[in-house]
Amino acid sequence: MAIADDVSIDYINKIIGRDASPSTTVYTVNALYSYLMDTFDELTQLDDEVPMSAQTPTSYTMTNGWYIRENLTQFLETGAIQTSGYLDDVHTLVLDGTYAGPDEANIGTQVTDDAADIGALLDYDNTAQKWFIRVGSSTVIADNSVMSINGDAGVTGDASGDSTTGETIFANPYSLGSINGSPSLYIYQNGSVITSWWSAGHFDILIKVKDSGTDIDSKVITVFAREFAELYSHFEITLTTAGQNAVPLGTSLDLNNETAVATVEDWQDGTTYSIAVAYNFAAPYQYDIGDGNGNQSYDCQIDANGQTLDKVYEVCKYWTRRTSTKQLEYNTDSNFINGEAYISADDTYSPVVVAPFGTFAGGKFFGAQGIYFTNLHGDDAQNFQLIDNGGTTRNPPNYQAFTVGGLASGDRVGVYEETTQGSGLVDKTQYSLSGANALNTITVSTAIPVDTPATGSIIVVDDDGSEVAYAYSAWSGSDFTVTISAAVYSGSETAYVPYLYEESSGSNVSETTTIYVSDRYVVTKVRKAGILPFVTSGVYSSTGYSGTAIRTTDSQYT
Amino acid sequence: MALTINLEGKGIIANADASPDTAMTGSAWNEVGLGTDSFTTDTFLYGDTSFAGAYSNKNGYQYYDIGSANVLDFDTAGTEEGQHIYMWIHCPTIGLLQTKANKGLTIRLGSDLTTDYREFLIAGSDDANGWNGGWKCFVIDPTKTGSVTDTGTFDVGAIRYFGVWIDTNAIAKGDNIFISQIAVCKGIRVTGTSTTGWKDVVDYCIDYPNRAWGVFQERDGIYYQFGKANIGSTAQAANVSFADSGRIIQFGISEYWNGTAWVTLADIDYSGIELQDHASYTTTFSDGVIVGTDNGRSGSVIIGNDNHNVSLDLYGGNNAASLTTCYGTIFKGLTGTLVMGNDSNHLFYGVTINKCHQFDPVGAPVIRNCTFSETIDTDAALLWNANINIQDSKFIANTLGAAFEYPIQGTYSQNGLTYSGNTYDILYSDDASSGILTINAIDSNPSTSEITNTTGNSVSIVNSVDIDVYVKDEDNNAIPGARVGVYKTSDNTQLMLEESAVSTGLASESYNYTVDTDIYIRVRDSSIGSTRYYPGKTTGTILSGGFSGTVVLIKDRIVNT
Repeated sequence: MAIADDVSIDYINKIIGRDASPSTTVYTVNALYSYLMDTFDELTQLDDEVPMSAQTPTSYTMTNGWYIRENLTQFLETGAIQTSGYLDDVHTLVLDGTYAGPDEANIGTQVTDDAADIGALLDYDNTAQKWFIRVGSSTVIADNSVMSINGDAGVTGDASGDSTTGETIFANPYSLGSINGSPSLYIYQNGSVITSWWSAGHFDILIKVKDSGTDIDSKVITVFAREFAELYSHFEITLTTAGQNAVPLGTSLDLNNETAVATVEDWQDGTTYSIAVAYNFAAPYQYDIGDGNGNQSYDCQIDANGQTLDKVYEVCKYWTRRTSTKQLEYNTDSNFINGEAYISADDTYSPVVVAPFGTFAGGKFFGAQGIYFTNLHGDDAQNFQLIDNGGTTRNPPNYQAFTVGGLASGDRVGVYEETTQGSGLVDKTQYSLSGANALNTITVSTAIPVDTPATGSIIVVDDDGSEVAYAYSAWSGSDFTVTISAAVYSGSETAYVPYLYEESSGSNVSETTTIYVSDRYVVTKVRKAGILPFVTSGVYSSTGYSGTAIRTTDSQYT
Repeated sequence: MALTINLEGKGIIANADASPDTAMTGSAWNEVGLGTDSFTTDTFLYGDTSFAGAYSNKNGYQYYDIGSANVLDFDTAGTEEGQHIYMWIHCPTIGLLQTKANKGLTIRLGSDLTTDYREFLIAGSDDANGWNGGWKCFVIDPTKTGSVTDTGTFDVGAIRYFGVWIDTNAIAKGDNIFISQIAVCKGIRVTGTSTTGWKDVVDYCIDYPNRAWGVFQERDGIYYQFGKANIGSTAQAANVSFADSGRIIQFGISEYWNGTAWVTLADIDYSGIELQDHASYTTTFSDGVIVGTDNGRSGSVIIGNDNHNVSLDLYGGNNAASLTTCYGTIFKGLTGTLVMGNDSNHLFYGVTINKCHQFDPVGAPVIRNCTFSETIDTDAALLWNANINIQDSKFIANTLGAAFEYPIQGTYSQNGLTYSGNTYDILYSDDASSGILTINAIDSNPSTSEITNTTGNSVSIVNSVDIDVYVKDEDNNAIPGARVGVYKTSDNTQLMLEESAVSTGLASESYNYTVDTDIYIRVRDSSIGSTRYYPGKTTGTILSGGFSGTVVLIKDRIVNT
């Protein structure tokens, strides 16, 4: 169909609109302008003023009182349209009360204000309950006026506030960049998503950014490309009045987000797991990542529910994907936003465009500003990086685990510092006590190294060679906190602290609170009556220590 | 040759001195009553004396007796029929007079001294009609009804006594009533040659040591005329040339109290100007200065008054070579007959005829750049005739009568005649069923018409002018095929809808012009397949000569070609 078949011209009411039976063709604004110029240069049209003028190939103006309907602007591209002459002529009225909206048959019909004709209906938006009326003057339609259509009493509504009058601007954003496939781009304006009329993939559309003389959210829109399984993209732009506005977007497949969306959904709704997110802006979460700088503030807490961060990452993607209505918060408590429009915990934070909660790469979750994790999986002691509310990047200390596998329940397992590499002997002089012990404290003569488990056992070797193991609940400096009477020891004794010192309840045991500092030679012992004692030497390195017991049945044991 | 100026009529009948006047045997100045009379040289206008009277709380009649053998006959067919009495009177004690009701001061004309007379009240202590008592020439038509019932049997055909009745009711010191020269005439007649004609006439009439002809007077540079000025004569023995410019001639009034109001003491038709000539001798009358070939300036201003139907007859009629030319002359308030002469040589350039009776050009005087305004004629300001020759003139604010009367059906052209503010521009006054009066208006804008006899008559005004719109591009090349629309600004009426021509870019349409019309013009050429332009719009005014303008279209480099 030609544009003439898709565009209607109402010469009486000076409305440029969309034909009653149009095609779906989208025309450039230039095509509309060109068509109108061609139409209005006919002799029979000279008595009508031209409806449009062109300032540049992408900037146009509705002139001489002509009104352009939004059902047409949705089928235009590549050019902005502003109006000249709406002020004190066209009024916009929002209605409430018992609303029964007009239809196409009412276009051009007189609108009644308290039963008196006030001007022709030019356009309507029954979703927003908004009417556009050619009042022809600056006289406003007063709040609470009873509105209807002359000759159609079924159309009803009450004025919700005075009508407004002023110029309108349809800006022209268009997207560009490398995007994966044809994502369904969506736009948020003034906190709400615009119901899209455009096709998937890159768009070139006209968006109303000024209505009746008032900018809509300062002409700002945010365009999102967030298809699950892809790296997201969005762009916030203040649209200019004239010409086109480029919206750069870039998306690609997210290799860390390949799990089926339904599966990921189950990871956060309790079906499989309960990975969750929470915010506290008034009293930010305090979390010490262990980097020696103590507690730091975080607005957002993600509960990993003991699951690995790769799953957490996908859940975060799920929450912020297109169509997500997950209620997330930003800036202040209970300031909710749909997840599909979530950008960051705070507007002042640098957003992570591709994944609002943070990215995942190399098995490591790089959290967005203000986000921290709790209930991490043991394997993820080191697999994340945070940025606190203050914007400082926080890396966890190098927690490297001691793990011993190949066990059976009931096996006693000990991992000790070895006297020398491969000696197979426990270094029982790891510490020397420092003077008589105080009540509930055993003090050693040197600083306790950071690769000491946070809790565990300290074994004191008395002068006579006897040993007593004390469970400590904490350590600090040179002190182990234990349960002991004062002056049990004189200070001439030695002591050592196993890295693992426990009875297995399963196939393996581990210790994740130790921080790697430097390589340690360790000896692992596994014993249980019925099997031959197992001893092996190893090294606790930057990747931790992992040993596997060989459980050989003691054939002699009865 | 200077002008020869004579009173037209009886002439001077009394000089107000001790000697018998104008050789009328038996004539004499006298008084009856309680006052004392004398000839005084203390107060006079004409010559060196006047006839004075002293009335201190007294009354009496101060008069001139023309003598029983010299009585004047103002009656119908009488010797002095149509003539007026010009009597100079001075009364310095107006405030001491009896009131009007008690007949303070009257002009008394008698056919008998005491028993038969007529009186015209001219002042009372309570009302002197604006007169302060200084020398004033009262112009009296003795046939008019007196202020009070005539005493006895006054015979207008045998008037012998001419004087003033005065009645004072307070003490006056010395003489308080004076009479100077008395004349009887219709006006003056002028022959001879002058380039300062009006001035010469006035200077002559107010040469008070020698004459006090009240026909022309002068105050503060303004000439006042009482009666008729005849320029030329049917009996003249030589050519007459009377020229002047820049004078102000006001036809004066002389009033008396008729019992209920101040009314004219003279006949309403006695004022005017009339040109006369002789079959063998021409009369040339010229006023003002010609400007260019068809306009004028510095003409005199000739002003009528509300009391008289001042007439104007500028056509001698006996000699075709006689010539009347008026350049920039202003005729105002002339409510008598206006005859401009059946002579195609007569010229009226830049003349204004304001608040006058209908102007009848009779024949074919050339009328150019004249203005006819505020006519007091109930028909029209100007009367058409078959030989009329008028162009480039204006008809303004003629609301009592129409602007231009056509008494005969036909098709006529108007050229350069502009109308504004008239109730009717055209009056069609032919008999019923005469048909259509067609006016082809060329550079003219008649638009409204009145038909005296509407049955079978109508008026068709055809004022065809061209609306020309040239369409060009930025390089001044003609744009063919552009659509051009012209509309009235006032009501958006479409006046033209044409495409511009191939070679000239001209779009043209005829328009029946009636009045200056503001227009707006739209020009568009944005058809697919050819050079496309931005719409063009401009405004203009269709004048009596039509409209011609150029619209330059700017190439639209944005539109999709």
